[in-house]
Amino acid sequence: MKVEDITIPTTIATEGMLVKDVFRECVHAQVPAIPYRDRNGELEGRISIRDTLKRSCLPEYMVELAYVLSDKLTCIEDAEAKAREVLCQVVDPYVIPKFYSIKPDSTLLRAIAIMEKNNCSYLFVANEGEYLGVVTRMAVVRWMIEVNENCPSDGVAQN
Amino acid sequence: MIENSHAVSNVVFGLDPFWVSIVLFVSTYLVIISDKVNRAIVAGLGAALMVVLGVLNQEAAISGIDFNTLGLLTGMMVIVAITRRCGVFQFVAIWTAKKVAARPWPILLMLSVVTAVFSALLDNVTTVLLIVPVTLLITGELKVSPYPYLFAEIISSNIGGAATLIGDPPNIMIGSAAGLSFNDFLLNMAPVMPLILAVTLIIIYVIWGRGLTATDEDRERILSFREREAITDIPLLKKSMSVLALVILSFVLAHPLGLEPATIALFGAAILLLLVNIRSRADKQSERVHHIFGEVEWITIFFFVGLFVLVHGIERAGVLEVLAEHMIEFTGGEMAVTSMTIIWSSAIFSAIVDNIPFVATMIPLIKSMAPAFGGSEQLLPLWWSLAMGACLGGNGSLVGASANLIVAGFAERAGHRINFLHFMLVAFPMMLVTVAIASVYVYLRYL
Repeated sequence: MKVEDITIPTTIATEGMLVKDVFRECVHAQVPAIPYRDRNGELEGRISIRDTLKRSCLPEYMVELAYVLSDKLTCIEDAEAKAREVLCQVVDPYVIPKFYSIKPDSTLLRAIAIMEKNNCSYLFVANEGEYLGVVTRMAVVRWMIEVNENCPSDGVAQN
Repeated sequence: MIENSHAVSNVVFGLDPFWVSIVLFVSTYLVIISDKVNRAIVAGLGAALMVVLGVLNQEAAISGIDFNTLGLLTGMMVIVAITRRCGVFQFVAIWTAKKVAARPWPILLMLSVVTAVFSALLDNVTTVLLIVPVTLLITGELKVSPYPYLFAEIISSNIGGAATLIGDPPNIMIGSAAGLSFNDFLLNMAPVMPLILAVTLIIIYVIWGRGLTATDEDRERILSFREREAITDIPLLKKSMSVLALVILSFVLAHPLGLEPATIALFGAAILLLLVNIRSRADKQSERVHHIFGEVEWITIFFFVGLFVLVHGIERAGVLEVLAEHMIEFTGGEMAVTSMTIIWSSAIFSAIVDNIPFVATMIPLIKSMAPAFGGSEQLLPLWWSLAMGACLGGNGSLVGASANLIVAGFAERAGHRINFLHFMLVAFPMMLVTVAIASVYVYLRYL
């Protein structure tokens, strides 16, 4: 099994695109991020759901005090307005320049090893500059389950 | 120039160690001040050149390193790195804010006092790292400017840190070099700090305090915070608080116990590491210890190592002896004038540049004044002057102390930029007021 067999094709974010459209694509394809292409057509970085949320609505001090936060915060009361504000921004300030990619003919083991090495849950699949899609850890696990529907002694826990 | 019998004669090309050490020392300090290269790298490079160029040999360089300072710093850093994980400091900060019914000015007062007390017992940088998130959350919900709060916390952390041996690195260095104990600092530095803190808070009240108001609805939000949830690990809380309390008690009893502060801090760190790891698997222990050691500020530790060697280089080359003679000449050998010169010059220097290199240089300089003042026992007023000037001087500007920069960085990332000049406009005169109070205290008590 190669990476290309479980690659999830997605669109590429471009300059001036709204956060809303990127999020919609991520939710539709069930991927945590999509790549970003600059005006010269180069893959310049990525837009990730986690990082965009962190930078737009989660100040450092809130993360630090996560357990202390109550249900009465101002930003919770205005949640809808805040969400609209974030979604209607252009994605350009949220581009992360660094991204990890893998070739389509790589093995799945290599893919999850690279994910582990870089502490991430997805890789962009590209072949000589041509973007093909995203491979996620979830997609690898989905494949593992699909090809091993039944355990040798189903219903008995294996040690 | 003084003929120094200790100076090593094999300096490259037969150059005079006196001038080689001065050039090395001054150029290293200039690069440190420029802030272009990490200070640990610069100090390490300067120290290595002292040896490579022959001003010191390796044995002499190592003998210049004050391992008592390094041990105390490292031990306390390990203890703090473990203790802060239990969330008790954030609990205290939020609890005190709720105790004053979430009224804006009393919150500022309470957070300032909490910051000062924590800074005296931990270190300034850790303290502000724990208090600033609470402050930003509270001020955001109260819809008041965080600036007066952050300003007060910067000032309080440096004042609190000045009160004890372990509160601020300059005190650790001075304590180690002059043989001053935790109790010496407690009895000589701490008594004046509440007065200094009170005066600064009055000034802050006059400037900003009256404008701090919040609606009942906004205050209600603060009262809904779940401070108990801040404590994420109760067994860790018990272990770390017990060890921290024992370490502080041991500092107080250090003299009868016959223990040096570094021994106490490193022993406390080892006990706490043991307590948090004792029931874990070997691989888990290694991972946890590795993580805790990763939180030790090695940049600061290696910066100290480099500085100690650099200062030892100019000391052995006879430079500091010459400087001390000039200083005594300038002050006429008067203890009061020398003391006031030290307190004010260290305050001004510390406001502009990092106080650690300054104190590292001043320590041997003051030591070499001992013969002129009738022995090292007579130098006490000078040590207190140096400690007060260096610690309080850190309040003069944003670059005066590491804690100031940490607060500014945190605030900026949260969208509240602290302008350098705007800060200095109030902080510098306020620092002068605090140093004036400290000068009167030193004069009345010791001169």
